[in-house]
Amino acid sequence: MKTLGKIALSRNAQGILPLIVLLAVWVVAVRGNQPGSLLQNGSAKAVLDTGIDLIRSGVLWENYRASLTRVIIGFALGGSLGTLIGLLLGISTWADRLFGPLLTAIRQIPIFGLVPLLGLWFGMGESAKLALVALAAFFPMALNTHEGVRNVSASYREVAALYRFGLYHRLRYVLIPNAVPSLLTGLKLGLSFAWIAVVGAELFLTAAPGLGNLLEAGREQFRVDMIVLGIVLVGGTGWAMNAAVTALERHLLRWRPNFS
Amino acid sequence: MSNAIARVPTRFAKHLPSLLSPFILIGVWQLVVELHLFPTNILVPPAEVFQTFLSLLDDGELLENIGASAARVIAGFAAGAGAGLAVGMAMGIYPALERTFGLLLTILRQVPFIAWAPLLIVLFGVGESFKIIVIANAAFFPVALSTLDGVRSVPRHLKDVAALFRFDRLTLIRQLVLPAALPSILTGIRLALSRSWMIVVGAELFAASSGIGHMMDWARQMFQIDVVMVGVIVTGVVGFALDQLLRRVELHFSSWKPVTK
Repeated sequence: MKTLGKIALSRNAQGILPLIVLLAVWVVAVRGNQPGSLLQNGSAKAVLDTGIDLIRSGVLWENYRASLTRVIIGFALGGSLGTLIGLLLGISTWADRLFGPLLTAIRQIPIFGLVPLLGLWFGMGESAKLALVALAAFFPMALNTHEGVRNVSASYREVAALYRFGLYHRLRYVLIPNAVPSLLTGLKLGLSFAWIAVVGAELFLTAAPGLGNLLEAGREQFRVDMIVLGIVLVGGTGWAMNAAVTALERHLLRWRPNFS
Repeated sequence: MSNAIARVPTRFAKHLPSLLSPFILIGVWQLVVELHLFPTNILVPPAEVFQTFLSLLDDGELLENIGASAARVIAGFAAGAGAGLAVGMAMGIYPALERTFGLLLTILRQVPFIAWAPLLIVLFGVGESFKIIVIANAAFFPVALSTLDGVRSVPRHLKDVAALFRFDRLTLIRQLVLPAALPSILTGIRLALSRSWMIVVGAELFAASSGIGHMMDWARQMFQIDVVMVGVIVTGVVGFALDQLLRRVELHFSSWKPVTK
């Protein structure tokens, strides 16, 4: 009997307990509430029904696809530019000294503080959204690439110098392979920032399909069910992207001793 | 020439380029203006932005808005970081709590603050409480996680010594856990504070009658790009200053640590 109890309360089972309680409270709390009230709107059943409705009508996929497309394009633009700038700063000490501090300073601008400026420069439509996402991805990628290249140990650099490696060979065989752990950190942070920026851009800039749009529509119509669906999708996708990069990290860095 | 500078290892020579970099930015900015690549009402010349900055400073509008944003950050950050500290500490000291609520926290943490905003608006309206709750929510997680991390990493042998001396719970926290976890907690606090500053601007974009985000959004609607640019620069400078200040504090309190990277 005792061992049974222990198994039931094993690490994972115990963590699930509060979730079950919350779910039960969620289901029970709605009873007796007036139809159309906020609680009724956000009940577990309403969320489920709306979810099925939106999936059937294709509305959910349309919004989801739009957000995914934005994060991919924005990250591709900002992330690749960030990697290039990070490499440049890592290779050239002078570029580093001149532009490194500038980059650190500009990074401190709150990303959503750029929304009004980008809105004026690019209009409130799609290009401003992509610009915001690209900027969000740019900084983590640039800073982590920079750090990775800068921290390549001096002995490797000396060997490369000894063999009179050209720039290409230095990058290909010394700098980039040694910067992989940092690059992956940049990828992880850059993707998660880009994802936040996608949702923010969709909320703040002109409405167009996207998960932010689903959230905004839910807010305007007091449809808690739509908001909850949006939150679950945004959170779940962020988690999945993070998990994917972590899996990539495990695979690429499997040579490392005690990498967990 | 460049070698001569590089060879002199004075602090001044080392910091000279970093001191130069803002001027380079302004120089490039002015150059682009001079080349007339963009109309001046789209890319406002630096001197004009500076003029706007001075006049906003002069009539008190800028300071008033910064003050409003700062008040929100302080209230939200204090609530969120305080709760984070308490939760992280409790979960670190009582592993049973972590086993029970760890998963829930991990799940909640996956949702970026910006996605919570619409729900909070529906529940609380777009007033002051919504803004403070968004900030508190965002400040909570970094502090809770880094506190938990710090408490968990208290070396085993120190805990044994504390047990040997029969420290009571309060002494244990004050004499051992808090000092040992402090560097980690401070890192969390720095992250939380800079995140709070980032979020207040976003929260004010939803709707506000004061604050730096409101000033920028209003200026955008009025097509006053100079005011928007002043706002961007000011938020950046404030964020930078907060980060640097807390880095100093962090360094000060973790100077006893043997090797930190």
